[in-house]
Amino acid sequence: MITLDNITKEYNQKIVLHDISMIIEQGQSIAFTGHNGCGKSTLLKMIAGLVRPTKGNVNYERSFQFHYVPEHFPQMQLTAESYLFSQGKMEGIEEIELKKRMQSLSQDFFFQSMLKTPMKRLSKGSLQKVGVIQALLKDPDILLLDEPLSGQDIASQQVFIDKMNVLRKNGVVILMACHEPYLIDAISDCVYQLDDGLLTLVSKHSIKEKTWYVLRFTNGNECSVPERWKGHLQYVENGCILRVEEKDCNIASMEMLQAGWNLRGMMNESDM
Amino acid sequence: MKAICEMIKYQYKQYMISAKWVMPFIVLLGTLSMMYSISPVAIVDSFSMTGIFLFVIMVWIGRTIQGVEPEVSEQVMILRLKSDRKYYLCHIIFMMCICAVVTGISIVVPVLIHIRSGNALLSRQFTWSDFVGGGLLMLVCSFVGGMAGELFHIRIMKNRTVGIGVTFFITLLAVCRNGVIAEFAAMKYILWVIPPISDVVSWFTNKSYFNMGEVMKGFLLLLIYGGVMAVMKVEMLKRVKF
Repeated sequence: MITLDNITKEYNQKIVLHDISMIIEQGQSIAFTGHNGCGKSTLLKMIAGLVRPTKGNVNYERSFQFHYVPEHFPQMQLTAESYLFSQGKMEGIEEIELKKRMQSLSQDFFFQSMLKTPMKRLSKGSLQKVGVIQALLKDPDILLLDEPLSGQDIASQQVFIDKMNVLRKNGVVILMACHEPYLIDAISDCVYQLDDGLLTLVSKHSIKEKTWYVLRFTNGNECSVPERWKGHLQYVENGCILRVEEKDCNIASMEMLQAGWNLRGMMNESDM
Repeated sequence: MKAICEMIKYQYKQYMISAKWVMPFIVLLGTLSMMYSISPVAIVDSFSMTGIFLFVIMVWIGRTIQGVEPEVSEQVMILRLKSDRKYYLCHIIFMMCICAVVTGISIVVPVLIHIRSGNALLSRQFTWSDFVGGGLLMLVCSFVGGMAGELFHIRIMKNRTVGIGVTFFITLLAVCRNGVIAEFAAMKYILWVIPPISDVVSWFTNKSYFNMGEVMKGFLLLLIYGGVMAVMKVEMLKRVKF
């Protein structure tokens, strides 16, 4: 259906994706995993034609209907109901059918009471539900999911997994950028790891076994971040958070301490 | 076609709820009220001046409307419509609807004041040629303004301050172009890129009636400028993507 032909993407002279080639077939459900900022979202958008590759081509067998669940659904002044209604109408769904579909999906995702709330007042998890519902109003050819479960409650997560598996049975291609091993395990056929711009096919098993830890540091005096951990880092108020595999915890802590940071906490990511 | 209509309805909802229309419309109504507060007023002169004013107002609207739709939401809709060109075209049509509204207001306000003042405002009776000629002139001036305001879109010129500065400079030059060229003739070789709003409007200064031949000539000339700016914006946005 879609062929990625040696695509490379550079941002500010930094190579995010390097010479990636792959073929996406009908009915496949593919997960892309890797640390924050490794280029998963960029790759999804490039597949959909929203981002232009610096080199290489994305070739489509025909014109496909993409639906997209972004990682951060935007806060808007419109109510969720008004937004979803417009999206459904744009899709060409008849009004009666659309209202039924909106009711049923919002009921499934425990969202009914929030339909009339302006989207700017919704929490991150609820906004994410709007993102999911708009993508499920009608079956697309290809569904792009960018961290689709971020902020969602456990019950909604299970509903989401069930809906994705129904779409898979209907032949919808699912392309997902995701960290959660259980989600990858539940809905993906194969997993690609993105690391240093390179895409590698890995077994679902290897993803599942990895345990990730979150290390919290506060600012020391004139501290810099060692080069190898820069891609794992997220700056927060008064410091930073480092997400590393279990095997890298000791070395990461040591190098950050040597660089002048103060370790203030460490947690297993699955416990957070 | 249905998707395009729904997209335009959606943009209308988003724009109305954003309240970004409030200030330009207050300024528009305020200026029209001031403009028609002294009578008698020459119809052709006042409609031509309103054309320049609508150009400026639409530059403002074109600049501020860019922030109404979040980037992520634009991506969702471009994919839904299966075409970025279709999405941007919908936006241009929506801008044209706003142009029609501001033009309508700018014609209705003096007519209402004229009726309310017992036919004392306008220097002569209002005719269909005033409605058509003045309407076309205002419509095309506002269209060029809208397209000029949107030309330096946030994704085309990432530095917002520079974008606003360049848009302001172009607006100023478009309004003063005629005077600048009269003062420095050589500037015509540079200023031809700027929409000739002041030139077209000057054709109607001190005229009693709209000459429909000149109206059509001005309309087509400005339509071409506005159209070129619209195409440039769409093609640049298609090129830079997200």
